[in-house]
Amino acid sequence: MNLEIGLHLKVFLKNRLLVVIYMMMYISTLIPLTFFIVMGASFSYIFYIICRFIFYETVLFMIMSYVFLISDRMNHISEVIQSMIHERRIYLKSCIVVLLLLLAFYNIFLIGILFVTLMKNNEFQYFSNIYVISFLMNIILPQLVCFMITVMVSMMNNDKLASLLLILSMLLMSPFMNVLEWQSEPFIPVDKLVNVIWLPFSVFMQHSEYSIDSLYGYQNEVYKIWILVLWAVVFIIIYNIRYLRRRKQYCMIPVLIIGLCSYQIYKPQSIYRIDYKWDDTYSDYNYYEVSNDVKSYSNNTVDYKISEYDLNISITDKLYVDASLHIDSDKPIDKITLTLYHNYRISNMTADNIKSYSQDGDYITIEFNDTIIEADINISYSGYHSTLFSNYQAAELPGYFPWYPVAGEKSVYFNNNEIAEINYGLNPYNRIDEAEFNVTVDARYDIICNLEEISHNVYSGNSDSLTIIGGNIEKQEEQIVNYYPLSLSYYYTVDDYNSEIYGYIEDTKNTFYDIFENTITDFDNKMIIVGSKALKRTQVSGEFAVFNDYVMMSEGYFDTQSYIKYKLFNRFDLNPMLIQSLITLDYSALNQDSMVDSLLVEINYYYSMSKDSSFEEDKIITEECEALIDEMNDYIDVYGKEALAKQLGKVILGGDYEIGN
Amino acid sequence: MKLEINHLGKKIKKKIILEDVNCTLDNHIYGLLGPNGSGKTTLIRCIIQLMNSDGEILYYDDNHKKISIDDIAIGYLPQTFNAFKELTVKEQLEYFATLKNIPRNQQSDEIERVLRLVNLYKHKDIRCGSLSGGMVRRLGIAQALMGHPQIIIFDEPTAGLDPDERNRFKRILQKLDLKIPVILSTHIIPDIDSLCTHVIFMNEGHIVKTGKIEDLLNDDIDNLEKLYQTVIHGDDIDEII
Repeated sequence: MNLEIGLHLKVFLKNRLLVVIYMMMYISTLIPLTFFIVMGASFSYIFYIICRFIFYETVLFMIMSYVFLISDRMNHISEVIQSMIHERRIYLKSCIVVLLLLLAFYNIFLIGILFVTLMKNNEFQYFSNIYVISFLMNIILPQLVCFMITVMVSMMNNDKLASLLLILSMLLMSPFMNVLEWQSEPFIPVDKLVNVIWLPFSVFMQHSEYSIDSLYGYQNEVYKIWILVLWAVVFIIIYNIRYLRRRKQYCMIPVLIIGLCSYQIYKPQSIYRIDYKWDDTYSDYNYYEVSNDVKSYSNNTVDYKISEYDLNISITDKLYVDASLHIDSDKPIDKITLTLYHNYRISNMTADNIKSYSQDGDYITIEFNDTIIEADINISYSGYHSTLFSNYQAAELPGYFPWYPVAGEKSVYFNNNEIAEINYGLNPYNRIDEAEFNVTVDARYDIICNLEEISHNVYSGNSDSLTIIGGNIEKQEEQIVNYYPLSLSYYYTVDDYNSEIYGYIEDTKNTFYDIFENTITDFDNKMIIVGSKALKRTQVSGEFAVFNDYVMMSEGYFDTQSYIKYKLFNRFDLNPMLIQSLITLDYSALNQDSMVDSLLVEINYYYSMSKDSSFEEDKIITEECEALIDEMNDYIDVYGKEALAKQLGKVILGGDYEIGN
Repeated sequence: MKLEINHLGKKIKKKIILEDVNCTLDNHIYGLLGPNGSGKTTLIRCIIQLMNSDGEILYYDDNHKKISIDDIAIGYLPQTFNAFKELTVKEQLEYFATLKNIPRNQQSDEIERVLRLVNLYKHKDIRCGSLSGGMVRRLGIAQALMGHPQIIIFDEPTAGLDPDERNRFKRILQKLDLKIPVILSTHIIPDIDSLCTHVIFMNEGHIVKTGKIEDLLNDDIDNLEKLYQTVIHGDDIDEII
């Protein structure tokens, strides 16, 4: 066999076309990466570039492999070869080994480039096992799948059909498939059909034009391993089809494996993608009917609360929770409502004296046989959110999001359509009455939690929420309790990471004080949990949420404007035009006087745009603007601009204030 | 070397290609004659086990000992033959020589021998993609003869060749003093006339007649063409001998 491999390697090397294609793989990889490395790109960036563009190199490899594999047939030499060796497919077998060797050389070349980058930037301390797994899942695995498909296609006798299938496979694996997405539900479920066909081919990084999420990392989901197994089984079947035709009793095993693989691939599970699908990234948008301008914020309070949570959490392909809840009520009740995000479905609920329960959307209604003032309820549920992932590789479950049951009817989604700036997303203002938590998390990674860690992944404490994040994350003994290794590089160390965030906070506090003469205390004596950019994509204010005992911030830039947005979005007690104007200003270049002037300019602008309109909404805006302008000018006349700025500070922070109602 | 074919049958997608084929092949040159679609190529492929079949094919060495096909060196020229276009003639034969397990130190001499036999030696360094049809065919003959095969099978060896190349092919075979079973499958009767001592007639998946040519001819059927017509299309088969 060694002799035949060497022989066929020689045949490959003598084929100029094949050699040129193979060299093109190297050249088209080397030139751009060399450019980036010379320009000082970090290891993480080079790695990302390789993952993003490996599809194109693999296409070259598929073409080269296909031409090589069918060469014996095209040259009418296969029968002669078989007659000499008395072994079917000796040419095919030898070529497979040769091509796998060539593929291995190419991947060693890629590893070499990455190693050179590590050396040049002296970034060895930033290298972790994350990259090894990511390399296997996002670079090696897709190449193996493509290779198996190419070999199977090359075994077809009908070359035209084979070529067509090869091209179709490339298309299905290409970034082009990311374009085929429906933002709203189609009348005919074409998207479902496309998904069924496309999913076994989705091995390359999807939507890789977006940078990776630091917490989630690369697309290392377990279902991709099942895709590899599926194709391997299909390959084995195709390769041994003649044998299996004669021994049909052996067909059951591969069929069963294919069934298992299909189940693992197609079952609903938590997978994080920045896509435009109506039932994925846009699912909340569609579900809560934001496009129809339905106001979806309410802040109902109830007379009962969950005072104790005992949660056993398992995070695998999605979130699984066994919860024991202790309910306390101020007065006797026979019915309670809990809020749990609608995609977490209850599998079991037990309680003493329970009459019935139902889950309708985000709300669980529980009825008791008699009135109660306290109850113990056991709930088991599972599910996932399309963007707040919870799977084998990472989890991001912020405390304002009802991924755990909370008492009352809370608004999961938030859209204040009284403000002209379009902002909708998960409601970051949901809190519970302080409760006692005992939480155990079974996950394949370390967890960051707002509660105290009693032992490994076991947490306990009292809080107004429960936040759990885990994945590509490291803990640190700082006010900022975590950082993301994937964000770091030679040019951006942990110290830079912390300094940047502390800098944002300090600048925000200083700017706010300089302009509004009020002190921000939200960060004082509280731990800061830094979430990943996925939070920005879901939460209505994008960056920030304040809890009793901690603050949650999203990675990335944060400033006074971000802070003010968070403080004002849910302020339905205020004149909407005041909110609208305050959240629009750029505070970085303002002082007290210029802030007030800019504010008035902003309000006058809205006034001028709406005053001549005949639409009812514009008439309301005109009235609001008029009232605000008068109020502010009156205040300035009496107290001055500085005093007004100070008042506005109180308005923002929610203390006692005199204007803006 | 001897082959025994017993009750050989082959179906492809439920269509009967060969049915109950029986015959014995010794160290002679056999012409395998039959119309298109009679099963000649399928029979050949079954003999060299490019295809599975029903029945059995037994191989015996010169000592009448049964041997496996894996131990037999086969020289085979299929109906459609070409070469890797990028390799030179010499490199292509080196490729075949390696597959035939000819030791490396003997390959050079063996390649020279067969190339001289087929008059391609002076073209040994030319890329196969530049060869004419006739030269490719000669290359095919060369690889079939390489390594001292114990069975040689030519399937339509002169198909597509001009008269000069056909005559050249005949001269090559006539030059060889082959003491092994040689099968020449064709539907061109003149090719068999000058080369073969025995003939096998096939029609619709059956062997309808086999034997020594001179024994099969008589005063009325005095040439192979008439014999062919009688055997394949005639009614009075029993009157041939």
